[in-house]
Amino acid sequence: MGRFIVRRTLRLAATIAVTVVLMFVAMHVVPGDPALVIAGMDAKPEDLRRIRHSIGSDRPLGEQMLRWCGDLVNLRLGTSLTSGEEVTRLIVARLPITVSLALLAMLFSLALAIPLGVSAACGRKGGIASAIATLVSQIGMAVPGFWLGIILLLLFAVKLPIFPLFGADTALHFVLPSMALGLGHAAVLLRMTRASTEEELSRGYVLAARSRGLPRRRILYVHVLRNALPPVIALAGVQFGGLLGGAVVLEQVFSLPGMGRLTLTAITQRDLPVVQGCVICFAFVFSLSSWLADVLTAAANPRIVLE
Amino acid sequence: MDEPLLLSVDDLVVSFERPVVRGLSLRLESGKVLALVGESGSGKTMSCLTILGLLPQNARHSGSVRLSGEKLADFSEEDLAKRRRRRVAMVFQEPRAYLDPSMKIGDQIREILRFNLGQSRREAARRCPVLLESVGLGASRVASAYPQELSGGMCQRASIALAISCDPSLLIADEPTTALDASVQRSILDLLLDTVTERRMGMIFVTHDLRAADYVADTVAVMLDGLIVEEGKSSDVLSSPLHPYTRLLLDSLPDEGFLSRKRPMDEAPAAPGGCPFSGRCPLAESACRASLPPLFSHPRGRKARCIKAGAPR
Repeated sequence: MGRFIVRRTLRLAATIAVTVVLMFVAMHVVPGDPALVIAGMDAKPEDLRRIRHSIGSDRPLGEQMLRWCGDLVNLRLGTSLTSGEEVTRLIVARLPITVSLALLAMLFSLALAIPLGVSAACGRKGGIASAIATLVSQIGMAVPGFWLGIILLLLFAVKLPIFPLFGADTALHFVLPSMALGLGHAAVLLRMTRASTEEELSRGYVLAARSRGLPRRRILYVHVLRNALPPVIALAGVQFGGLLGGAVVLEQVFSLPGMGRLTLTAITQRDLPVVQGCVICFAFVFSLSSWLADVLTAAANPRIVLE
Repeated sequence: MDEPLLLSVDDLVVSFERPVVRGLSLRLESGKVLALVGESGSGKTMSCLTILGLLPQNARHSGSVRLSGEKLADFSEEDLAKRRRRRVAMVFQEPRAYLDPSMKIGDQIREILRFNLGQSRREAARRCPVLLESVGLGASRVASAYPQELSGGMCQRASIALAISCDPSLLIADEPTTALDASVQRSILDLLLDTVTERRMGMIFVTHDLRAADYVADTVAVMLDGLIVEEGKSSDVLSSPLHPYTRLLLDSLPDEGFLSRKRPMDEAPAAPGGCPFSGRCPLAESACRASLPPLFSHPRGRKARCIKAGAPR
């Protein structure tokens, strides 16, 4: 297991490294001179040169990249071209909101998908658990998150004023957004859980365990789920990136001051340092969550480690 | 008053869309081994699953199965589970497929000891190596290994350990050596035989291999299409088969040194309502196709379901 973690961490480091380099290359391929953005269209050439010198864009590319990496390591992500604030500070203020939303949505999806999926797999073909599971997964896949968010707001924040309309101050503020964000992913996880559990239930060791008189509950929770859930957890880990992306949209619907709005605004305003910072941040969070999902899966099912 | 028979099955019928077991009757005493021989689809596995009460939900069955005099049909799922814990055990064909791949062997054994025998963690930890030793897996490495890390033979030994851990009186072995290398098969058969003899268990040994049946069993019952077509002491059945199907099975055994390959059977379907072998039997005549022969009794306790039983070729 230790060796697995080391291997997996090296892969994480490699992913981050490649992302950083790609980011740098992408930004220098994109047309547009940041100096022009700062100084404006009517800037005089000397001013442009001065600005380029101060932001270092007149140095050779190799040197710029090294400086860039150095900055990253020290969490110096530059300053916003529009507001002058430090990018790092902007991100630190907003990242927790986005990540919390994504995590809560993930928890909601798992809490919805796993029990439903397992019940549907264990129940009869045409039984009620099966019907509910199918219904939930169809609805979840068909309904867009932002629409669901608006409907939830209408129903539970306007008509029945249970939940707040906007802001991110209390836990209550996150309930509706995480449900809206999580339902779509729950649908996919549900189908995976059900299929995986059904497959495990048909395996020989289940019959063998029954033949030894082990209680049904134990067979299900200890043997079947331990083999059925790893692909579900792995899928959930991969989905986390999608949740981060979906959070961007839902932050608009629910007026949450998170990374999504920051990134969108920065893109429209061509605020390069902020965009860079946000993308690096997303890449890092996503890679880290993928790493965590792998480690958790391996801990749950030692077979993975042997592969 | 005699002890009741370990196992007695009467007129067992099991059907899904169509019947797969069509009226099976068996007797087994403690300490004896009965071989159920037949091709795939002959109903042997379904018969075994019925004894354990493990038929799939869409199966219908009738007839009676008595374990030490107790009628299984009277049992609730709870009672059946209790019997499975302490009285009957089964060993299956593909050893690795029938062990939980995510759990170490030792953990699986200790789990059974704790749940079925109510042993404490410490007791189970003590019993586990003893049990592994008794099936020839004395090396401590095995207890901390996962099924994929062990060879087929070792997995099967582990499965046998799990099966006998609670001292059952009846062991059902469903083609336990079919999926193993030829070199390993003999040692597993020996292990089964020794175990059964030492513990005075009864064993039903399901196989398609007549030689294995001869090696292991006291009596043999040959099944075809859900029916027993011949029954008797293994030495008798194998030296002078009464039923043409048994003779066919014997004839298709390869000579020493060849890998066994099943001979493709002729396609002529059996006449419905008639003898199940009537499609392929060289001795078949209209009477065979017209009605299903009963199991005729022959000397030395033998039975055969053939109106031409014992006829020369």
